[in-house]
Amino acid sequence: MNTFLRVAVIYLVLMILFRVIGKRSLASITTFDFVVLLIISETTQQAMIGNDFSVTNALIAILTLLVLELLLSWLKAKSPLIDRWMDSVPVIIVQDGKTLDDRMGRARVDLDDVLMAARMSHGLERLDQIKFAVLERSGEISIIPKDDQK
Amino acid sequence: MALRPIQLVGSLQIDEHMGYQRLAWRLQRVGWAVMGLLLAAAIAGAFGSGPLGHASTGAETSALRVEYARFGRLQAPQELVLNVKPTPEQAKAGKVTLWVSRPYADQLQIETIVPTPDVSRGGPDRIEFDVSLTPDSAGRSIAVTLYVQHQYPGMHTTRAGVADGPTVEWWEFVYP
Repeated sequence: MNTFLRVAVIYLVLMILFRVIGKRSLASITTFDFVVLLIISETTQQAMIGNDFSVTNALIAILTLLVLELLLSWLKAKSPLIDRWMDSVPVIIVQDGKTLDDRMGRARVDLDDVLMAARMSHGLERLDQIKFAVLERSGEISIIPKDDQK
Repeated sequence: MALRPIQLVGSLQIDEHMGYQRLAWRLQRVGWAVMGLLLAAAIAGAFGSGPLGHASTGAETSALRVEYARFGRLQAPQELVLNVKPTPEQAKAGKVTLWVSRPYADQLQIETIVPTPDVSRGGPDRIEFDVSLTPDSAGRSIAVTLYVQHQYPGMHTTRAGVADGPTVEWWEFVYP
């Protein structure tokens, strides 16, 4: 019971916190972001298992996490609304070579990020070669080049 | 279950939903403010150590003054200081008897008491312990520190006192 409550509370709080800080914050994993994530997981672990280092306790914690994941994916499949609130939606940030500045500002994406994604995925050189750039639910930017660039 | 149809934006078939997205961005800003406030409260001591978290009962001059943490945390080490001013009789006898009320005392794990009591006694509503005094302690503030760990979360109202002397009362909130 105790372990279940601890894990469920941590799961819920982490979910809210990571939604609040936004998908861009930890999406472009730099080495430092990775270190921060490791520290967060280390800190969380203490709160989830407490002083009980038994195998049983670990199994209960893992079971709780997996069941919560299962439940959430089921809810997301059932309800588009929950799906949106949990995983957000993709946002078009460049259309026909023009940046949608308001959206980019709010999503904290700058032109550099878009151009980097264009170079890495399609070897594009300039903004005007991009037909669409989409900030995906994962926080990554996907690029669709203009037809004559394919 | 039928799959939802997904709209076209230009030539792009995408589940864009700007109404939701703008609301989410606004809520995100609110969330940042809440995170900032929580952190400020934590620094101020609303969740444990900090200026708001440290409290004491009574004035420096009172015969018994307790220093305690207003906001404790479950199973975190914490100090409870009983500052007692022994009367000349107590100093002459070389000992003073202090007590902490139950059930508070039972809900704590008392790690150590400094100075170590000579003897402790359990009563129905309190735990008593005798602390030896040096002869020059009359009228001077003697700190008896209890190093404790809370075992139960929630609000605790409790009392402590000196046998045949003053009693003080205070509350603590223990976060889970």
